Amino acid sequence: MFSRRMVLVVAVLGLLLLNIAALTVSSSRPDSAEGAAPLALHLTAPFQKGLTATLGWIRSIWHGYFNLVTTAEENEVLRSEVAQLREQLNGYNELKLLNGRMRSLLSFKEAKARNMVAAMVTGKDASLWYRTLIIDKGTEDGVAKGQPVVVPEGIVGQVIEASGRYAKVLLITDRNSSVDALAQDTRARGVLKGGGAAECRFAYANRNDTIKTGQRIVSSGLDGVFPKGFFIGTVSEVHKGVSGIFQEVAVTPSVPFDKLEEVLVVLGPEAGS
Amino acid sequence: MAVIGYILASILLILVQTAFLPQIPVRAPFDLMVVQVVYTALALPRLKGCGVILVTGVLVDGLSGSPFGFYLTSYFWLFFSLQIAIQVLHVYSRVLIYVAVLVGILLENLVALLALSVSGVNAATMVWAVEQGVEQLLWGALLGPLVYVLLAVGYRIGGGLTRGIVCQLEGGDGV
Repeated sequence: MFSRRMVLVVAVLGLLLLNIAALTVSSSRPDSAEGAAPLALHLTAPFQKGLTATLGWIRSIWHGYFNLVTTAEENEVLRSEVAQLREQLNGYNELKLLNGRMRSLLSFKEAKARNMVAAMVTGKDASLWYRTLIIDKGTEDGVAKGQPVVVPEGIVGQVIEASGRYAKVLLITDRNSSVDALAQDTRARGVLKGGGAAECRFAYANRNDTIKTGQRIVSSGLDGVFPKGFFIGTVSEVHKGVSGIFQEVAVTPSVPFDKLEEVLVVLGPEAGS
Repeated sequence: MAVIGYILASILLILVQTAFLPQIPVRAPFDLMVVQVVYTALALPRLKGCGVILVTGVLVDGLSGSPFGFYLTSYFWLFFSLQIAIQVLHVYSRVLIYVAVLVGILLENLVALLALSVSGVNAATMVWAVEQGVEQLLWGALLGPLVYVLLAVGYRIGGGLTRGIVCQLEGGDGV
């Protein structure tokens, strides 16, 4: 009744439609790779780690050689600087003690100490549309989905997948990322959304709020994921249109994502703090 | 044996893209796996090639932050289209390889646009994605053939080494 070619064409069209439907469902669900991601991490992440560690070792030897040449000259200069800095350090220690006493006097609550685990970045997303990292700590180290990832420079992102010894981190620059944030000085609130490229958007910032270029953006802690007061970036551009209730604000993240080698995963508030 | 070799080559390319290049630090200007898919489609029979593409797609999807199936879809339909093209046109010319790499990049970008539109992004992001696509196509047009040649050389060397090892094993131990 039907020719073989006809059946084949119908089958291919059916498969194509099924594929588009599956991809549509997958795109609207952020945790769509639940089964495959840990498998892929198990299979390739150890090799990524090995390769990254080897390259890091080669780079450190290379840098070490050049450093050695300049170190001798710098040594003399540094010795005199150390003497001056020691003097300054004494002063700072005094100030630190004074600060501690003042805080307790004013009943300022210390920021909660957090339980963190350091992890090495073993791989980065090859995709040009999505921004993720692979780190060498997983569920065996207490890492779980939804935990924030930070570095001293600021917020990196959050864990979206975790296998036994590896985890995948969604960067704040990814368009699927959102962080509830504040302008540090004016306390103007908004949601920091990834722009896909190097910049982020400070979305839903009220038009009447004062936001200027160079202002620091920090996490508000209201999203329940990122701890309050973590630095995210600085405002690089502000645009107020002729209409609308929000203003368009571009933020340059403080974290150098291209140079990230180690990160800290925030496991939760430290027991007893 | 060939399937294992091709899967290992895929893993090697994944490592180059996700661990080696970011260390330099360089981001691949287009998805190098597209070239691997083209090479596999031209070199392996349909069923074996399909197996390699499925494993490659799942691995790349698992390591990426993209929605699951994004790469699998792109690689599978590129592989399928190439198989049809070879069957209909009966050619394995250099022009076909060149066009196939560009079609692969284009296909991947179309799938990306579909995935982005489904997840409800704004117009600015869509414009950015289209710009990315054009940029990737230009880089693919420029570097695609070079990557293909390098991959072909890699396969030739790898194949030669494997044959040598197998011959030694057969000669030495009588396996």
